[in-house]
Amino acid sequence: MKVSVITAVFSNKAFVKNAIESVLAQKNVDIEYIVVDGGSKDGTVEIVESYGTRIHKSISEPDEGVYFALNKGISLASGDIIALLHSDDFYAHSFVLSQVVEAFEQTQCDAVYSNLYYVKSSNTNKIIRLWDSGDYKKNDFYKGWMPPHPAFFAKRSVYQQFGSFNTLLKSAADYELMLRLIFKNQIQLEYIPKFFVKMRTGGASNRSLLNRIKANMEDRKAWYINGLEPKWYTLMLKPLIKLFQYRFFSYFRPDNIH
Amino acid sequence: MVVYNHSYESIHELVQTVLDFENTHSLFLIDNSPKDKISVNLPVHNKLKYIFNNQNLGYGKAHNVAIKRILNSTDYHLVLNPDIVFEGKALHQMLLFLEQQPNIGLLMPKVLYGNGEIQYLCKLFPTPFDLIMRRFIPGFLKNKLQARLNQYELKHKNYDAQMEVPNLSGCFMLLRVEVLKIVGLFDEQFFMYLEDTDLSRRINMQFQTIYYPQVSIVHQYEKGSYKSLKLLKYHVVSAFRYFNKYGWFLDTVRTTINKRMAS
Repeated sequence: MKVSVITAVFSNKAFVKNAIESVLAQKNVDIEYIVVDGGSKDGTVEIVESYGTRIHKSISEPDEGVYFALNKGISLASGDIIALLHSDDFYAHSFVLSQVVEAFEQTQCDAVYSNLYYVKSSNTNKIIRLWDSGDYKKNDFYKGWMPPHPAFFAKRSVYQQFGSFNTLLKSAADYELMLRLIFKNQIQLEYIPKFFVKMRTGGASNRSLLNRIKANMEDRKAWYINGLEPKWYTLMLKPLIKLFQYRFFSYFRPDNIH
Repeated sequence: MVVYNHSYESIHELVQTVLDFENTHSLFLIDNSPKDKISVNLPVHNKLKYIFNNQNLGYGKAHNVAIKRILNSTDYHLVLNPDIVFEGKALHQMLLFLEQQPNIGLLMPKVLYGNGEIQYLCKLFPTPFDLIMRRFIPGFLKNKLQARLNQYELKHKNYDAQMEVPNLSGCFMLLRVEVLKIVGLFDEQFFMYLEDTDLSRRINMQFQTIYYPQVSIVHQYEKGSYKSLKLLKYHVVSAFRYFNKYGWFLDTVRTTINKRMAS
């Protein structure tokens, strides 16, 4: 099975290289790599171009945001499986996609999801928080659950059948996609309880109350767009689940081997 | 292989098995004993490397001495207890399997007692309760709690079937070196006990840790820490460090994975 990996990037000279290398380093897997740039002028495009044909398709043109870019990438993809990797994130090691493909081959599922490490931006060996997705049960979406979309791998046919990101939404477009695919259309899911993706946390995620309210309204919209009704507690639990992830792994100290 | 006050007679058969095995790159004998008593008896062999630490470094740290030397020269590494008996063809079959399955980081065979009885070395991630119960609960209570103990040792699973197991024993660990480079070596804060659980867990977080009963080996097992107070102390200290590292009661990774194994 061929995997199309899509990276959307906009002016991210510092980290895009890390993302690209982690994709190109994947072993024992057939990959098509697509990089969609939003018209960066900071040198990002030059970095992408420096990889030549190892990046199979790349575009650089102004777009209206990351989810537009990812949709563009999905429409260009020809692989059996679609993987979405942001330019700030990277795969934890070289055997990630081969394990994903193995799960697809063994289970006949529509999509696979795994866990994600939040790592320190300045030292990506330092794990700050775990996104431990857990097994999915039907009512989990009512409890504010969602799998991390960089660690969500779906067959391309799923996107063809149910559509890709809904760009009417801004911050909650990923949430809406998960809700639509998993909760509304009940695609066959397979969970790999392993940490495959590392995501950088930055100072930018400082959530003000206003932002929190905006995000809450967006999340609500994600339900209504699909003709679904969240429970009264659903959207309150969603940010709380994230807080909950934080504390318990302050002890977690991954070993440095060097 | 790490030895501690072992006589050469007690390990010489195992040393010979490993040296005779055609794919052996090198055999490291790491000696944690206070005195070097065995080097005079060792056969002269270019694959055999004896390292005398002149102190007891602890089990994991002593293994790391060997692993650090092979990180750039071999593909697989076997962590071996001195009280193991196995045949070269068993190891050969395991290596072939790892060659075919590149996503596996750790492979453990079926382990038998000398009398052919099976050892239940496939385990869940421990909770504080599991470890306390295994050690300190008196016999009359144990009967009632046996079900839970069985669960911890995965006795409800078919030990003849290949499966992914989160916590595999350190008595015979076949490891992929490339994976060790990614997840790290043994955590040296564990002097003895639970260093295998910790490494197994770190591999399981990113790669597959597989129980492979198609081949079996023999382990003359004795639960040392049930007899000696010193070993008991090591066990308790390691348990504290383990739970401090991963969480005592709220370890979501443990909850998720143990629950999956329950079915």
